[in-house]
Amino acid sequence: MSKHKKFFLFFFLIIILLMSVGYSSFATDININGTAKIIGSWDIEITDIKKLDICENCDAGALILDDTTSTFNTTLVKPGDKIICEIIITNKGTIPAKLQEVKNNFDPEPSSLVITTTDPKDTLEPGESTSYKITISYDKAISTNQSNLSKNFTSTIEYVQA
Amino acid sequence: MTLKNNKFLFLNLLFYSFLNIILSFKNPSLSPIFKSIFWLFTNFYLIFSLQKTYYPHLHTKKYLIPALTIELLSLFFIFLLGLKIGFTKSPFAHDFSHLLSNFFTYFIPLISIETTRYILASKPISKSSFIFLVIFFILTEINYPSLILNLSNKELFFKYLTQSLIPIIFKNILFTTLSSKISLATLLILSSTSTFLSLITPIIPNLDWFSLGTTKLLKYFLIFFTFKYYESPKPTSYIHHYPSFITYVLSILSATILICFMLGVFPYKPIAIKSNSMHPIFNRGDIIIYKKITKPEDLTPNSIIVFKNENSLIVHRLIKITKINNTYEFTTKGDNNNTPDSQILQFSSILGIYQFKLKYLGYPSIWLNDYLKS
Repeated sequence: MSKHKKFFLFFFLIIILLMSVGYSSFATDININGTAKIIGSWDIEITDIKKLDICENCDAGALILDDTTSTFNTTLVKPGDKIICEIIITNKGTIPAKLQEVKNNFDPEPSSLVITTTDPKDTLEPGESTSYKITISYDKAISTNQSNLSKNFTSTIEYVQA
Repeated sequence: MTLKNNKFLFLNLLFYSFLNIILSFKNPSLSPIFKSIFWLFTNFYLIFSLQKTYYPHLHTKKYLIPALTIELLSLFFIFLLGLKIGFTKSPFAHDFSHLLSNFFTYFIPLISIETTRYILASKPISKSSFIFLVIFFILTEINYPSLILNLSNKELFFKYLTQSLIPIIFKNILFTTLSSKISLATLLILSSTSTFLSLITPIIPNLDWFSLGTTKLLKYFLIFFTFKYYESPKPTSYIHHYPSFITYVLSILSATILICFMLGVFPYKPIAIKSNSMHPIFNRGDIIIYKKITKPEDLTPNSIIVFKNENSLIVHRLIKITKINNTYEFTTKGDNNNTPDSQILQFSSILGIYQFKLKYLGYPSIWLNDYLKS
């Protein structure tokens, strides 16, 4: 084997080894994103959640569950209370994406809460970000004396190729 | 044709690089159209201005069969990984209009770029022209908005480096070198088969950043060494030839096995230990190998298990198993901790059982992890 080939072989093995060391360094961090494909990459991600307005004594534990799902553990105290959160979505891939659906789910479905959402931008170019707001409010019309309303709420966005 | 005696072409390529970067940020939706038109124009210009030029390897079939074999092997390996890791829906739409637009956006530039590379590098060129071409094609392939996004923190950049940047650098050095030896058809097979398939198949393997980067590198090195062997003169004595051939095969095989091992293709998987919660069984800096499990009955109290906890992996001892209405609950504790873990585990969060450790081998991963998160 020539020196030239030996060098490349050695270099190749070192690179693969370094990449493997890097990969195992993320083994303690299993939330590995990035589903980039062979060419143009597809990577729509929720990158941040901002709590814009939270009523007194209320709580909204927000968590990014996966690339396209966010979950909230909301606690509202009295009728009229409301929580407003803003969810930021970024197209980290290289393919333009078009909004197909925003799914909002409560578990279990409460009758005394009202959900309103704004729509995120319909088309996301590569590198572009958009956001949508979710308002969760304790129905003002409820007059019966209820205890704090604690519910889990999940919001999922679905984008397809534009 | 050299870049030195064709200032128009040289300036044209520089102009493209500049405009490509500007458009990627200012008008991303216009960028692919600009790319397609530019490359088609460059191709036509080169083909017409050089129609009488002789390309010594344009019709050579010497490397066609090995190229096809490597391409098929590489696709087979990627789809085999998909069987283990899983498949996902292709991000590309498959109705006729999208197929046509994707073909124009992704495939035409690819074919045109490789044809341009072939025309410019098919004859022996000076070192400076070679370096210019390699850098130019690297800059052409980089997706700038994605690069900027991934520069925001060290972890993201490391993933980007592994998944995209290193394979792009190696690919462009390799393909520019090969252009002076192989036919255009061979070059196009090597560069565009996987792209073509990903555009037309409804599902694709759901590879992560590590598998994407390493499978590309494996392919490029397989091409490099196979073609090197093909072009070397036939040995007069196989006794002298065999050792280097065996070294080459063993290296590629060991790299493939390492990649599969890291990805968890085998029943055993490694994990680097970051804390001393299981001291003295194993310590920070050790690597432990765990065996994946499929049913709760595989678990017994006192065994050491690997489990998911939010965004991290933990290796602790299983101290209690409770069965309530056919549902198992598991309580764990670190040997070096005073109290059991607060989280009661479900079977779905348990990944495997500790088998054995490799002392100190995990330090490079720990150091890198500390650096990337600092």
